[in-house]
Amino acid sequence: MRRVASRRNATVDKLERRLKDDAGRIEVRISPELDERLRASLEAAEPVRSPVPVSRPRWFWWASSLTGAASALLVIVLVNLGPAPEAPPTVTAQPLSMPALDVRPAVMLGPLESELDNLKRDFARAEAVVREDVDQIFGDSDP
Amino acid sequence: MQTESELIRKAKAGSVPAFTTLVARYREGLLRFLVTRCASFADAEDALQDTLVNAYRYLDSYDPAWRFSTWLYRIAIRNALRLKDHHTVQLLDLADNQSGPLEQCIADQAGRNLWVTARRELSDEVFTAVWLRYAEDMSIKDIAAALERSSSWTKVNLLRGRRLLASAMEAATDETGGVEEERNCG
Repeated sequence: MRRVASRRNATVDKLERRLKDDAGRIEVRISPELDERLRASLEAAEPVRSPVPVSRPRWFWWASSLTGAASALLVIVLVNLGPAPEAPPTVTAQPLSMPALDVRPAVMLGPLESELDNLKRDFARAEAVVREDVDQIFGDSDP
Repeated sequence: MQTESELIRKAKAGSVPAFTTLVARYREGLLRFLVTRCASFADAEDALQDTLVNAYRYLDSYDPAWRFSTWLYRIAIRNALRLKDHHTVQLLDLADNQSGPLEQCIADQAGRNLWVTARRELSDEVFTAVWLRYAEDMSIKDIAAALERSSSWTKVNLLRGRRLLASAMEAATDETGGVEEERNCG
């Protein structure tokens, strides 16, 4: 078990080194043409300023609140002034005679419940492994 | 020598030279990242231009609680995604002929570059997380912020990416009979 863990750590170290090395092998450079293009596009760009909140007089808020309340009242009054809608006809269902059935519940849940328990245990084991790996690899590197 | 916060303050006031100096140290890193994410070198250059212009235009909304590089990468990731949506057909072509901008920019073709494998094996987000961690040395917190994900998501997906790449690397080592391993261990 310990040998597997140390082999895994060695692979991880090698992987990190390889990723860093291979990233360094990707050669890109900003050509003079691209540099000029970037400079020109920045010169042409206009910064977007965050909108400054406009302060409005106190009466403005009172007036808008009153207008809103008055509109709501008007709508309520108009809706209630109209004729009341007719009630839909009531349908009465005839009672059905049920045949007498001897119903017994089938015992089918037992295997499913044990399977669910097994799955939960597998999931908990897998979660513990992932947590251990995450803590081992990233736990100390970040605050 | 002006500090980053001074340059940001001047750039926010509208100084293009201050902004140019501010982003000068990040431009090549951003272009290298965009080359791995875009369908062509021209697209990567366009995405870099869009990233810098957007950063300049919206610098007023930059929150100094974040590292400036994290904010820049966040914009770059969005631009790369937008370009990818526009060029899905080109990306499909790239998968067939295996000659994308990433392959063209690899200096040492003697061995297989692991980032080519990563590009093929990992999803965009996991690839980006792995890139930011190992090529840019970003912290988990910064990667999570750049990807707009939680730290837990970032850790788990970094782990997933590493496992996939470690398997790919071991398989390649087995195939080449240890030659690959010697190359990397010096």
